[in-house]
Amino acid sequence: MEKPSFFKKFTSVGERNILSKFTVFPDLGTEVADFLVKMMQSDIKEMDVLNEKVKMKEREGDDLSENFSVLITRGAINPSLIDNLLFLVNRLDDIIDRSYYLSREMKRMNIGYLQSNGNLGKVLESPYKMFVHMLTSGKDAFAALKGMLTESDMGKINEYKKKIEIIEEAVDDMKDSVLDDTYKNADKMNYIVFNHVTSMVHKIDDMVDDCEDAADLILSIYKSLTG
Amino acid sequence: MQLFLLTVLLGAILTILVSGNNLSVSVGTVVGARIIRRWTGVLIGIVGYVSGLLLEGESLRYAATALLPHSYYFISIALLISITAFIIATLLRAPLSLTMVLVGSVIGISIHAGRIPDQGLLLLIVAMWIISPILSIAISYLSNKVLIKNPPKDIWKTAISMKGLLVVASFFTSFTLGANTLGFILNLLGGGSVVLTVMVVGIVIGSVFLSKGVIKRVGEEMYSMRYSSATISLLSSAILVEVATILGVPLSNSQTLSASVVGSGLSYSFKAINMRPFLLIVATWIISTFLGFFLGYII
Repeated sequence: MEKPSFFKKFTSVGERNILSKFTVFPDLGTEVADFLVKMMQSDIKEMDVLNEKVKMKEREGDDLSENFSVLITRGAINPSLIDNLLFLVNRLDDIIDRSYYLSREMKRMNIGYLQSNGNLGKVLESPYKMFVHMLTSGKDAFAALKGMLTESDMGKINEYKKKIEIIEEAVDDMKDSVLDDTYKNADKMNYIVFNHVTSMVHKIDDMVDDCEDAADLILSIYKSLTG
Repeated sequence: MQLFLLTVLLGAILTILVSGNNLSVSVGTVVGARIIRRWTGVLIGIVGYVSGLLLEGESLRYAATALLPHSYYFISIALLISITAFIIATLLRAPLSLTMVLVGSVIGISIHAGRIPDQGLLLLIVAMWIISPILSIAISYLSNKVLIKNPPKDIWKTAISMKGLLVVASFFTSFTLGANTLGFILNLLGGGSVVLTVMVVGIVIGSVFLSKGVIKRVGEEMYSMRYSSATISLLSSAILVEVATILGVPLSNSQTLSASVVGSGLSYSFKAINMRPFLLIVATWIISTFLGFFLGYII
């Protein structure tokens, strides 16, 4: 590998290099969101395969998080930014971790439980539709997050941040709607199904919340860099 | 001849201590912020010290000769007091301004020898020592306020500019220290090529061997600031020392820098700043000067 010249080394900013590498997390988030949507919409036979794919992505996220933490503490990073960057990596990795929880939960419910209690499956149709909406909105938030990580214009960065806030509020409303419906229809479901729906909706909401937290951290890092 | 050699030896030791100890002030931020490696920082420091000493060191000639009669006996006492005070302060882990001890002891010795130093110069020194930290706080505070109110459009272009400016500020700080504090020592020793060569060797030894711990500590702990705040702090401090050099007044870099760091801290609306260390430093400035004066007077 060619060694960078002194000028190139000097004119590159360690923080920029590391932040541009973080874009891999929103990409992973989008991929796992797609897998989760497929799990909700496709045949039960594919569930195992998709769960494995999410598991692989979750491991990839963990490995990346570990490598980035080493890079942050050893790289050309201003010490006053190290804590925020480490928090950011954790938050981004949390998004992928939560997706694996969702994937396993869906697998347990659909393969472990509904196969022998198929009559309860209908109750899940409506919440699953809403989960798909929530995840699709989540993907928009990941795209905006990626934009924040690659953009250098502060005006555009603030626009991305605003977009993430709006998405987060919309997802929050969707969560409330799912919870309201779940409580209304609580008599039609047993405890396992009820718990499945509520834990799923909270986890998807947490994914988007993590996205907003990450956006806040990115903005704080940018502000620290420029005054 | 023996007294001359002893004086030059003490001058060399003081130069080593000043160079090593102050390298943290000039390049600690830029190394601590990991913009450059330690050895690049040491090189910037050495080049800054030496060029400042060579180009502007002469500016302190009048102050050195007006404050102390040119006697190797007196000079060696002043140097000995400063070195001892520095060692004691290091053992007690107290922040000490070598410039202030040295100037204090020189005045004390001079008065003890029955010679009243130039009162106009004394007044100017006192005025600069009081005004400079206040000005440093004000400049740093106002510059930071302006920066906060006018956020840049492009983050990375700004960050690269800040980095470059910070390196320039580090060099400038080393330059002013070389011109002022080291220039004062050079002129106290009487100048000349022998003394100059010994001092340059002292600068290199001090910067290479005595700076490691202080650069790391000061750079990473005390000055782990935002790029903009660090740049403003260093620049405002160095400008004030440069003004003092032009006026021929010895002024402590650490005094102006500590003040400008406080100014930067005060400019943020959320002030997570601990004033105790700064007040301790202010107390040490006063103690350093009077301790130097007292020891110079009684010895």
